Amino acid sequence: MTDTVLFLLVDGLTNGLVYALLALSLVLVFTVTRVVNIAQGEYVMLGALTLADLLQGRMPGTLYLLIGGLALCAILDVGRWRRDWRQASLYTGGLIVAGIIALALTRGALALHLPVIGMMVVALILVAPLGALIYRFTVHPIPNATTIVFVIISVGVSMSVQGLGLLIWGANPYPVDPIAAGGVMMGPVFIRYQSFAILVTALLAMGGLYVFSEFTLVGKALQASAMNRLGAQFCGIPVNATGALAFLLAAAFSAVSGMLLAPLITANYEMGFMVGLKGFVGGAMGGLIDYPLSLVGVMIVGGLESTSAYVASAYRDVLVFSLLIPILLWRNTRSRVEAR
Amino acid sequence: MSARARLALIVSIILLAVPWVLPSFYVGIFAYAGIYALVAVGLVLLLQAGQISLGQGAFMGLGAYGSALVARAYGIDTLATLVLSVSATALVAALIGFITLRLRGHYLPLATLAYGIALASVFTAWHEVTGGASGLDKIPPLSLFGFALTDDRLYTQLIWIVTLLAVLGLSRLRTSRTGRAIATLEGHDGLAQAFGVDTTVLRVKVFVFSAVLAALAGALYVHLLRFVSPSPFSLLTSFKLLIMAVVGGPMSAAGGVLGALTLESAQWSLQDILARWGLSGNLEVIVFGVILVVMLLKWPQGLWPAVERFLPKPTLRSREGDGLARTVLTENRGEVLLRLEGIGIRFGGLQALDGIDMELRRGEFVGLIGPNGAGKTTLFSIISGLQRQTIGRVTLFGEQLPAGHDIVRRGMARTFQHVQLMPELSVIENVALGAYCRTDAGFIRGLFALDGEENRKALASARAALERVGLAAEADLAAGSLPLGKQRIVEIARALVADPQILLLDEPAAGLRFSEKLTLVRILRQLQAEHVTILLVEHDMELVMGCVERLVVLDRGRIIAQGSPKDVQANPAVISAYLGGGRDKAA
Repeated sequence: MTDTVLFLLVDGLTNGLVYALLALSLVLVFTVTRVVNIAQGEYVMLGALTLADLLQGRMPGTLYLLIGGLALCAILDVGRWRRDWRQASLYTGGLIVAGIIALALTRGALALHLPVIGMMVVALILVAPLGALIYRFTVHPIPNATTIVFVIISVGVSMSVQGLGLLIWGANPYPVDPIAAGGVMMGPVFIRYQSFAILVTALLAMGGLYVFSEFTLVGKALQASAMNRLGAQFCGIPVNATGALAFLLAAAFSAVSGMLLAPLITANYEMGFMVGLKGFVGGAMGGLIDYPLSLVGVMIVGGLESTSAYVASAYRDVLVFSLLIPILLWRNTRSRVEAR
Repeated sequence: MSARARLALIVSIILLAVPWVLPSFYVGIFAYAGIYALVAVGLVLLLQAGQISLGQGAFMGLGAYGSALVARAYGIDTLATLVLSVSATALVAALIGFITLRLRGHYLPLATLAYGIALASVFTAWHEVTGGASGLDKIPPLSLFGFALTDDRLYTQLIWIVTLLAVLGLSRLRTSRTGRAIATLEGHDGLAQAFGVDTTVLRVKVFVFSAVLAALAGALYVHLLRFVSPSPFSLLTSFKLLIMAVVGGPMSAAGGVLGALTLESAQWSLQDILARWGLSGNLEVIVFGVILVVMLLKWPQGLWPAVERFLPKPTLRSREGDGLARTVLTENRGEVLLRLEGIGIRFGGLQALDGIDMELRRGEFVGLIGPNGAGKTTLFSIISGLQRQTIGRVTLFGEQLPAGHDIVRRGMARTFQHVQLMPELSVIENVALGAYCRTDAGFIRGLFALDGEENRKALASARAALERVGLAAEADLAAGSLPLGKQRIVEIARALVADPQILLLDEPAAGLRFSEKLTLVRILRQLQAEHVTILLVEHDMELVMGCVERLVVLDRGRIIAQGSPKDVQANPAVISAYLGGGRDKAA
């Protein structure tokens, strides 16, 4: 019995940490841009499948997505040429250089047969900018739209990206190598090294974000945009740049969680969506604005998920998503108290 | 019959004839389009109310499984199965609605997503009842008066009749008392409450109705296919339905039909093209996602306005004859109508109001003035029930101030400092919202057009109020197209339609031109002669001094002077508050 409980605890903790990275992304995006990003989970999928491609020595399809995105970005900014051709040529040149760097980097990594961690970094460099591009395409044009409009837009983004994933990688699952294979017996429970890797990465990501927000100027600009968008704008903070940065960082966190998660399950084109939504259930605990409370939330989600997988596996998703309702009700009474 | 109605009739006849002329393969597709259109029409209503549902597919599923199970278990192959499953779904939706619709902002879409997934997972998980992922077959066909509807063409026609009736009903609803109230739900909560709309209850009603349409569509779906499995009610369906509503646009229920037809034909042609290219799987979702994003970025009102431009104008509902009966007010000047005792409110460390005692007697015309930040707006919010004081008591007609949406029923109406009109509705519809508290036709009466006489009276009252304030010519323009000054006058007309004994005016003259101010003064004098009690917050001193009988001056959350305009003007405390001289000494 104790063995089972311990096993479930470790399993729940591992799941919880994966969702924690998602919740971190969601809170970051929501606070800075007021976007409830239903599409956040798709970066999990992109991260995992990009890593799978790189480890198996294929050119990852993500590279084409990135280059296509950069090209679209250049096309959308075509009006800039008429206003200021110098700046526009710099901008377009920058986009082209970015594309070339990404291409060279991928080629180099494939030629050198980098170890898993090295490939993860390359995959991260390919996926994270997609976050900023999607910000450019979907949020930048209508910064003052309502929450509901942004939610619907992110639904559209999610559908498109998932469809592109299906187009590029097909419906087959891909195996992904862990950072370190095997594991260790701790008392009665076998813990995979990958679980440790997830723990360490999650802690590093949270600590990194904390240090970045508290101790760097850019991080403080991000915080300022989160607290008061208009006020930040008056202080000379380019809120569109901070928004894009938030999307980029969030994409990076989610992609990392996908790369860490993939060896435990397998990577396929629809793996991300549900992970993203479970991150939401956890993040909702903190109202999508409170990092520590979100962490509590995702741990509850992870725990409930592994327990229900053990007790009533068919009802796992039912239980996990029903959890959102009591969480939201609790939030609602809380926010009323705060308002008073 | 108007040109618009005739056109609608012709289009309906064509849609109902289509199943009989299509090749049989396309009949099924057309039937699905009708089913999805029915759900999309419900989603359009939700969008009109500023709500959203990412779980509408689950309600379809509830209706579908409910109808399938009842039909299989009890062999009731009549309409009774439909009624049973739709009522059951309505109950579930009401329960979910009561829990989630109190949520604000970003929580609501998340909640709809969560129960959408949870319910859809139940369809797969509970396989003793639902047959799990492989589903249930041998579902009996629907029958009407003992006649089994096994003919696909006839059944498709039935589906479209239901859908078109839903469009007709919701179009009627849009111009009814409830429809005007629904329009306030998108971002005008304060306005809705000020005119007597119980926003929570109305939100739940809208939500339940949209779920009922979804359940009905689901039930029609299973009796068409005679087989039910979880996959058609997944999240992807919910998303597709949402795209249909967005593509059609929130302006009109007909938009839902337009969106469903557009998306279904796009889906079939895309799948055809993709298959020719040798691509398989749900790749059309890429295009759907892009369509959704582009629509919202470029045409947030959907395709409907583009179509409507070519349509003849809709018939306006009758507004002739007498309006609602008006209360004749007595001239009993001694009676205290509104009393504030020791009102204080604190926002964190800021004491915005402190120890406010004030009375409003019948027939009085009182001005509330004070420099910026004095607390006028906060006091106004407390009196009109939008904000609760930290300490103190407000009594209205001798009783404690009721909850926000009941205040107007007791006879106190207000206008807003920041104009609160529904910009896309016509001026007269906006004004008729004022009659909400004096009429009682509900959702169902609006839907089935059983509100004719009452609605006529409400509109007639609105027309009379517009004539009174000199805006009769603008009655049918969109409220958002008027200049700001006229919008303020529209606000006053709307408050008048509520037939108030007490009228609260929050800076009515701000942004008005000179001639408009003269109109305002004329209206105010006339109201005073009719013994309406008025409390006016205003910055235009000339207007205030020329109208009011008594002034109350606020500064830094306290009353510093009261009395006739002449006395107040001579009061040294008031002069120092406004001009700043001697403030240091006073402090």
